[in-house]
Amino acid sequence: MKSRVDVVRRACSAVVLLVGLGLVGACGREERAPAPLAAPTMTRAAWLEAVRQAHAGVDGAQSSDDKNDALRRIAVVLDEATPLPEASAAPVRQDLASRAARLALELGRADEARGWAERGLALGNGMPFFRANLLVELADAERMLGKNEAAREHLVQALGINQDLLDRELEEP
Amino acid sequence: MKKYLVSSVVALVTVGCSAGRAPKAAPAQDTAPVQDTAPSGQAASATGLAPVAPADSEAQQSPRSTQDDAAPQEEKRKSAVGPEPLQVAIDSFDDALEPQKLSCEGARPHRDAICAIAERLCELPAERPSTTRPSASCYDARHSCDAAKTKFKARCG
Repeated sequence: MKSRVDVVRRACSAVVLLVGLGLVGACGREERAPAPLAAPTMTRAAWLEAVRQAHAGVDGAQSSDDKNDALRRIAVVLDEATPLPEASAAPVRQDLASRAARLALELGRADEARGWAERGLALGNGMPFFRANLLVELADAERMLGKNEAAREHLVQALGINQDLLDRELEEP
Repeated sequence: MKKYLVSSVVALVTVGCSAGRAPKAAPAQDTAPVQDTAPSGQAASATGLAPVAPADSEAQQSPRSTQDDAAPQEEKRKSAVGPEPLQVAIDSFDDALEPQKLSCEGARPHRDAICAIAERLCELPAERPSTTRPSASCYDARHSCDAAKTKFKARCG
């Protein structure tokens, strides 16, 4: 009788062991499944340093080569997935896009400038002041391309944003 | 025997899977939380970076709630004695900040931008010379520039 109980107990232990191994395997698979396929994003510190360097590149750009280098640096930062929450990153990206558009205008490349400005505006509302700057750059690009009506509309929009911001700053506390 | 088998399986299910779902520690550089909201107004730095500030943790919040409970009694005591040194310090800090001056500094770039945009609008040639729209938008923009200057002068001198 005792030996029968031992046999049954051993059989049960084996079943428990097998079920346990199965569960461990299943749980492991469940965790491995959503593993990201994309390359890991930059750290926040690295991203912010890249932004700082991109701005420094624009600040120090004198020649056309410098300006093209600065544009490339901005493109790298804007192409990179940001590790910051979108709400925090949007104004930073808009400011960079605005500077890129201005550089492209200085280089006489209106189409490219328009592309940068539209890219910045497509990032959403971000910060109104940067949005207004992007609209001015877009207007300058449109004007360079001979599209004065489009330029006018963007300028009127930019003026409205600045009026709102001025009113907000000067309103009585 | 059945009982032994069932309880063993249940124990394995509970311990095994819940342990697998335990949250992992975040990488060192990602532990500092970033403010989710973009800064308002023009307080941004030259690079336009949003300020990075640590959010309140639960550990920081819990003592605050105990302070809140004791607040009414504390206030009664304060009103009997007079302004606390902390309040005096806060008031003098506010005076030193000169909030009016701050808002004038924040308003200046917008005033300048309005007038610069107005100039741009007035420089734009008309696509169709017969239309009156360019002169109208130029007139409106100049008026906006004048109004912005007047408003700024009235408040900031």
